[in-house]
Amino acid sequence: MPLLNRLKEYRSKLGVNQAQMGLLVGTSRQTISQIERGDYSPSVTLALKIAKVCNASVEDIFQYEEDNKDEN
Amino acid sequence: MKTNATSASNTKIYIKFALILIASMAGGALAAFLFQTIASNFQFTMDNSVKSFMDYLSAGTIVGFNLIAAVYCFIQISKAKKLVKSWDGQDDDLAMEAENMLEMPLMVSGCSFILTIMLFGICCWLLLVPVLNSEQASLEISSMILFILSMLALLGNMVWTMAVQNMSVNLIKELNPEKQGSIFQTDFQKTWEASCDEMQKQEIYRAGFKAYQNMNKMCLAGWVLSVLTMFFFDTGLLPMILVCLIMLTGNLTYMMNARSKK
Repeated sequence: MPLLNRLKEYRSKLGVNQAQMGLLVGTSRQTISQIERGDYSPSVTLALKIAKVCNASVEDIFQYEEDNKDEN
Repeated sequence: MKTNATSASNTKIYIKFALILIASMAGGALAAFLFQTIASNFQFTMDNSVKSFMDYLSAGTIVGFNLIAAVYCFIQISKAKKLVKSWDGQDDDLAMEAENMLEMPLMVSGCSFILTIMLFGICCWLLLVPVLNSEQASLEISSMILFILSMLALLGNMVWTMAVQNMSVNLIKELNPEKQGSIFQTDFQKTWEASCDEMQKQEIYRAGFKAYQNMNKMCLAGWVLSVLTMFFFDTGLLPMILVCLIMLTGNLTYMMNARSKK
């Protein structure tokens, strides 16, 4: 999964749990959990909503790293 | 250059496809030969002791299987319920553990219904068909008891699977308050899907596509088997037609929904 994220870190800064974070961005606790574990890459809309709630830019929270396999 | 590369790649695909076709034909011919050999040496007759044993086995299996599956599901649900009750809304790992615990009862209850109706069909075939075909004058008392038992197991299955699914759905709703719907609603699946977010919908659609792929594979295998048994065991046209109808339904539904909406 080339999309890395710091959502857990930003969520801790906000002092909310996954369910509350889900409510803030209009999604489920399961989705927040999957994003944090790197099992799900959110849509652009959801990434923007998360960034807005965290008062950060999308790039601060999500970083795209080139997969080594792509380079070969 | 690109066209040449594409052409070479296509040639490889065609060769591979042709080889698969030849191998399938050879496999089909071998299977037909094997079936013919088996059919010529096989006569499906059961003496009374074997039939009686099969009667008890089929009725015992449907009852025993349902008891074990129901007990397992209710134990899992009660464990998950304890976790959900102890959840304070903060512990994300505990919520995930409870959700994982609920996956098995949902799967077991769903599959048990299919297995139960299959076993009930076998019971009917063993217990009732000899009477309907006039091979037996009337239904013996033991057969009648076994048939009633298997029917009770079928009814019991409907009750316990609904109870398990209802309890699981309610617990999932406690963990995820945004989820909507009750299994007693006729449009439950639609309501549930509508209350899912983008990730959950993606999971549902991915699982649906995987199910469609596997159903196509199983239908093809079922078609081969039904054609072979039609020739060598005189099972008639119905199994083969049913397999094709299931495959046709799946493919038409897929194609109609995959069309781009302009």
